[in-house]
This record gives sequence, C-alpha cells and structure tokens, in this order.
Amino acid sequence: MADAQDPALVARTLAGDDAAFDELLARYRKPVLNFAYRLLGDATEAEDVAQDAFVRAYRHLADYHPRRQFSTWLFAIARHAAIDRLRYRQRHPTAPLAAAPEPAASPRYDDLGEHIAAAIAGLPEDQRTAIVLAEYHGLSHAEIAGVMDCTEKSVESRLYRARAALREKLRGFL
Amino acid sequence: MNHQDDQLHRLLQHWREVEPAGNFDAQVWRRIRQSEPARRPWLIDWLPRPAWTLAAAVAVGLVIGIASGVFSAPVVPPTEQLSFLAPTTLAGALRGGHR
Repeated sequence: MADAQDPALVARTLAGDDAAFDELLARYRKPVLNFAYRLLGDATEAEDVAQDAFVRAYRHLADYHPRRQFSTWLFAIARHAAIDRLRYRQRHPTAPLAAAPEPAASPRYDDLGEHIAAAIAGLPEDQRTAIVLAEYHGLSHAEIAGVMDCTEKSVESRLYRARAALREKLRGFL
Repeated sequence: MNHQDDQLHRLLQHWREVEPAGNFDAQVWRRIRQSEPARRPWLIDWLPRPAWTLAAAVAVGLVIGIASGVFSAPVVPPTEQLSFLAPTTLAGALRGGHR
C-alpha cells in the first residue's frame, strides 16, 4: 500500500494545495472506510469515522514524518477514531443488537459475510485490528506494528490468537 | 502462510467491502472547513487589543488638545508681556532703558 508519492502530496497539501489532499482522499478513502467498517461492523458509523479520520489527518498533517509510510500513519489515525467510537458506544448503549448468528450444522453460504463479521466483532480490539490489517489490507507484520505502535512479536501473537479464535468460531464453514 | 491460515484467509474474503458514499470527499472538506477557526473581519484583525486602542485614542486626543490650545492662544507682543514690571524696579528700569 506504500506509495512513494504520498510524502510529496502531503508536502503540497501543507503548502496550501488542496488538490493534493484530494489525491490522498482518492487513494485512501476506500481502504480507510473498509478498515473502519471491519472494526465497527456498521457501514454508516464507518463512513462517519473514516471522514473523521481524514479530518484529523488533515489537521495534523504537519506532524507526519515523511520517513514513515503515509498509509500506516493514516490507518493509525483511523484506528484511534474507531476506538473513540467504540468507547462512545460503551458509554451510550442503544438497543441491544441481534445476537450473532450461530453456524448451523449445514451452514448457509449466502449469509456467510454476516457470520464472518460477527466472528471478527467478537475478537478483542487489538486482535481485530491486527487480523483486519493482515487479512483485508495485506499489511506486513512490521506495518501492522507501525499502525498499532507495538512490536512485531506482539503482532504475531495477536494474529496467532485471532486466527485460532476465528477458526473455532467459523469451523462450520472451513 | 500454512494451509490452515490459507484456508481461513480465503473464507474471510467472503465478507465483502463497502463503497464510500458519493459525497464522501465533499463531507470531509465540509468537516475540515467547520473545524477551522472562523475568520474574523479584517478590521477586527487590524485593530490591536482594546486596551491599546483606548490608550492610543487618549494619546491622540491629548496631542490634538495641546496643539489646538497652543495655536489658538492670543499672541502678546514681548514688550507687553513685561508691562507688569514697575518702572521703579530694576527690571522695570531696564525694560524702560530698552525702549
């Protein structure tokens, strides 16, 4: 996902060229939206959180260091925005969501996505973030460590536990 | 990636992506503009702080007042300015001597 042109686009944005930020939006709006979607499990909230992440990125663009990958910096911001939303949910609980569907003896594959979403939603946030970045965004362990501000060993451990839990939850589909 | 991980990876891809709304970028820009501090009229920016404005107004008033007082005062010839000196005094005698 790394792009050598990203630091130049950041520099142009800082110099007042809004078209450069439009280019960054065009490159990353879909990955950031889907990252938020897989962390939150709700497309509407994900849209709001993804927009918030870009606003935060724009306001703190001067803090971005060109030696760092822009994508991992942006994912880190999006992760914090998603965590803020999850905390908000805990403080302001709404009507309980429908229970996650249990895999039937003969699972139906038309709602497979719902089962996967429910299984991933059941993971602790750190494991969920690691598995989403690895499985859906193709980030390396080092890149995930950069997003999560932890060691690669820690990422490996989180991925190992997340995969074990998902295999267990989704064993009816494997 | 071992066989089990590969199998899980393929399964997870069945959770489909979502697409950004058509106005996604416009919404981001709207929120960026909203988060920026509101621009004040140029006159407010130009004017210094109220205390300094008041001090400057007082100073300008004093200068104008003093200047108008000086320039509007009646001009008295120098000899009349010393007319209060009695001729019997030394200063008066000297003043008389100058005549």
